[in-house]
Amino acid sequence: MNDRAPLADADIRGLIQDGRIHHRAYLDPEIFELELERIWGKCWIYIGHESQVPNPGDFFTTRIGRAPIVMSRHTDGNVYVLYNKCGHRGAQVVQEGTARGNCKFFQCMYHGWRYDTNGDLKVVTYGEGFGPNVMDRSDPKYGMIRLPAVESYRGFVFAKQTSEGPTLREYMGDAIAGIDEVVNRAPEGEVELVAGCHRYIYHGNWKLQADNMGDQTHAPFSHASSLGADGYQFSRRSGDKGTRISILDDKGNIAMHSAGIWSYPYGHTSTGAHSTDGDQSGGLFEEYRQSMVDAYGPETAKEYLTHKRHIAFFYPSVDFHVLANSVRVIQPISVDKTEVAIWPIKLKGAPEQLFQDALKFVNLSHAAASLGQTDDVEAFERSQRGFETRGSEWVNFIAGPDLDRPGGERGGTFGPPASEVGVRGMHTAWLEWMTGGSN
Amino acid sequence: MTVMTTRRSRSALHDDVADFISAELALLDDRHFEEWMALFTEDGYYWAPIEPGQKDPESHVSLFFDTVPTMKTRIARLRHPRIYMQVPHSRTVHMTSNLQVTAEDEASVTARCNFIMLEYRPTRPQNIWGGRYDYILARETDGFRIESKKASLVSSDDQFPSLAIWF
Repeated sequence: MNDRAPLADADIRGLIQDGRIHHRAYLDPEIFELELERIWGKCWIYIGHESQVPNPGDFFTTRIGRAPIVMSRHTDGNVYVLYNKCGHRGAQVVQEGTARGNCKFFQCMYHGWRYDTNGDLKVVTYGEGFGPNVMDRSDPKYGMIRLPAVESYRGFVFAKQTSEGPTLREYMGDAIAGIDEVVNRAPEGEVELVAGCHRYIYHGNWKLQADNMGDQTHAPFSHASSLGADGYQFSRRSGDKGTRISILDDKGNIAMHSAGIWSYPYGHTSTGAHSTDGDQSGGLFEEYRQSMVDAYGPETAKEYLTHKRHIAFFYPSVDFHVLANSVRVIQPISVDKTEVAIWPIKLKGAPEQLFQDALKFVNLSHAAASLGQTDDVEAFERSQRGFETRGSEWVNFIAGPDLDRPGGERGGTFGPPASEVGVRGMHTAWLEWMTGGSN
Repeated sequence: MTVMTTRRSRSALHDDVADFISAELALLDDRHFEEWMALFTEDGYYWAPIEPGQKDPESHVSLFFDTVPTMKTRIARLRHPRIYMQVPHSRTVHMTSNLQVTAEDEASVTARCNFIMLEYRPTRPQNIWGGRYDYILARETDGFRIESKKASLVSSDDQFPSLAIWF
């Protein structure tokens, strides 16, 4: 495809300068392959939630990059994350179209090798025909291979394709409070992913979706068409009369509606609550508030129901959307093609109707046929095209470095709403991973 | 004679339903979205499930679940000059076949048919969507109105590019 020499670390370092990142990072298939190896192959990647595999034998298929993965619940009660590949001749064992199911064992359709739901090899068909001393059947390499590092936090399962590097908690750092903010809103202190997911696809690099997580200034422009005459976006949740996104202020000027942006080591970012992420009200919400008070007492319930974050993004794969009560999962397909899945979160112990409403709102906000996310997808695709130009081959994330300051009790580095501190943090992490650092 | 009469009246009903659906889809293809919305009863809805065999829009995500107020919001956006994901807007053609009227009483008619929708937005690949429609049509003095419409795509649980126009 091209006659360039393989990329050296010095070449990669040249792709990021003073908050700018070179077009090539979004366009070059060689960069994409290196990202699969050095970022998606080394970082903690979101896999799923334990509630997707509640019973022994339950399984769920997903991918890390192109690699098919199966998450399963074994008879020992533990959750396993396995490469979805037969230890014999390498065929994918569990068909991906059956994204979810239950079985006693995994059996490869090619030659019938059979595996426990923890990946252990159980049956080698025609085993006598292999002859003696050919293979040690207890050797894990003949099983469905487990990912070397799997950890979960409050039910959310992450895995890593290397045993090196930080633990999940070290990796998440102070940013992990974003997951707590979501889960604490459940009266039972637990959440479930039990209503399937939206899946949208766009013709653009996966980093475009990530970059958008730390972006507070696009809304009045990209989302102009979803604004009513009053400057408010459609209501998203029960009791949300006052919490629709006000994109214009009372005088019709563009409102800056965020408390700012936090950036964390390893590229995580979190945007502050919108001024409109405030208290909900109304009958159903009062019922929910009461269940929170019953569970936690009035003071803690009030604290848990006070929005602190709009989103919490854990580089490179998953965004916890506090307002929309959903998990957004990035799956890179190729250098210019990306799939994103949106999983609504059910708050255990909250009124059923609250979840049903949340489902309908996420249909409007983040689905492929939504009134909001589709604007972002348009921006991603136009960006990917824009990057094909010459002249200045740089994408600028230059807003705000002189305004950075310590992130206070939330940790990390803080920037005001228009700052691009979150995206700069991602690209700093990108450079570290891509040049062999961050271990 | 009785058999013949019954058959003739059933055929007339079939024709009425087919005409109604053709007219409905022409309104979508001609971008007469407001008139199309007016075909729905006040508490009518249009639902496109994601999961094959999905029971309801409350317990699982859907491609869309549009009540009339939601349609209003969606149409306001489609009419907005800065709906960038529809500049230029999609051109569509809906086609149906295999219509069957499966139940009827004095108040309503239940029908199903297959559909294909071609969608082309200039500069983007052409999309071909297809599946099955299920209708419950209320009988009103001036004709049918839609109590519910369901579009079950054969590819409903696939990944989708941005969607703007109803199937």
